[in-house]
Amino acid sequence: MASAFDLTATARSLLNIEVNTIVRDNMTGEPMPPAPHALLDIAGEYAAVLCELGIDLPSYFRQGAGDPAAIIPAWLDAPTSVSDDLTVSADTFDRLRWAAKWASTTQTPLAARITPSKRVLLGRIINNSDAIKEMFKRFDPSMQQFVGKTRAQLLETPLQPSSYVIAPDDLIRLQKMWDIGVEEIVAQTVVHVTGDVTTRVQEALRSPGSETVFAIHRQSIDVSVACWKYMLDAVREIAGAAIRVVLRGGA
Amino acid sequence: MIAWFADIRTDIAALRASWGSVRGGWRAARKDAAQLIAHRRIMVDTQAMLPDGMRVVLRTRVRLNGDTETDILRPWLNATTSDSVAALASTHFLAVAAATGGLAAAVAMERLATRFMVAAGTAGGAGTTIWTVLTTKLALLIPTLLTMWALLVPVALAMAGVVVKLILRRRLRGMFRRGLSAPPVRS
Repeated sequence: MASAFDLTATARSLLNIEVNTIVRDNMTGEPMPPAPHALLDIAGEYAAVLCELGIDLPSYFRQGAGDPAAIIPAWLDAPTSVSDDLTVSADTFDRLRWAAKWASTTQTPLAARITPSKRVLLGRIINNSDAIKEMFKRFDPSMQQFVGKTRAQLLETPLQPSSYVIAPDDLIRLQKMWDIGVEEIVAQTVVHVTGDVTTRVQEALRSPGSETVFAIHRQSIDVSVACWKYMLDAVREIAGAAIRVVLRGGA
Repeated sequence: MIAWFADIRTDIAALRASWGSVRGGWRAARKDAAQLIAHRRIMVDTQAMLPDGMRVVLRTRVRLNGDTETDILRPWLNATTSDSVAALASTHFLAVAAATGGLAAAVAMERLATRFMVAAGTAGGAGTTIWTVLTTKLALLIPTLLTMWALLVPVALAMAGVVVKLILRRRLRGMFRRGLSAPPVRS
């Protein structure tokens, strides 16, 4: 709730930073839509990737499909789209999660179509779907009006931005999921306030000619670390003594 | 007290460091800081001419939780020489540094301004008090001090510094809360 807002969670999230470099085929300037639409966008992108991989996603969204963990789908050449079946609900993300889980763990010759980079993507779908399912548990009662609605149902009534509230941390996480979508992250660096630094690089970047991307990633880290200090300082200044204790404790 | 002066030195150093890179001066710094707080991120785009026209080729988003994403347009990356990519990337990240430096400059500037008010008020008040104590009879000291503009003005300035600091902190906190809590709107 807005009235119960405090900066502690934001301050805690500043205890480590993640720097991602993504190579995209297209870039649009579209900002994130209202959260119910953003949730459907994310679900739609995950569903499209799972269908592209040939997972029989309709078997997860069929009437009476039952427990998604128990479904054993088939590999298909061109599965039917499930975009009309996706709803703003934890159930939709649960089904997507189990479909991705099945695809990443199944060991059949047909599963050879899952390349290492697609396996990373499936891992992201699983983790983000779990994170969104948790968000639904924390959602403010004002979000209940959208739960269970399809895109068509959402579009029937004008959506007032002031008609719902989402916790700031969840909103930042949702925005990041929406921004990154299903794009492949070519390089990722996580810097912890303790000084630990972890860098992951996509296999394809081992080839010659990828130095340019590395150089851009390095510059991105430089800017990010510089900005990190400013933001810690700003949060300390804004929040006062309570957050200073948190930041000092975390450090 | 030593820590207080050390903080002022840190603020001046931060302001000097960030001011050099801040684009467009004080107003722009405030605007960048407000954008970061209100939209939960700063987004910096760099465009380049491609065969199909002007397109965004580099995009960096710096989020309020410290995370940063840089998107690179694949067709541009594949069609441009390494030197040209490196040159444009350097320009792009200078713009990102300038945009994010606005927050540091804005916070340091506001903090310095309020600290200056408190320091100037305290120093002025102390000087006047000491002078009055040395030049006035003890019996007349309190009435004299209470009617001296040279003392009342510095005291008022110091008190105003404390009040302004509280107001600024409250206002910035409100912006943070509104920015973080407001649902995003499709434009």
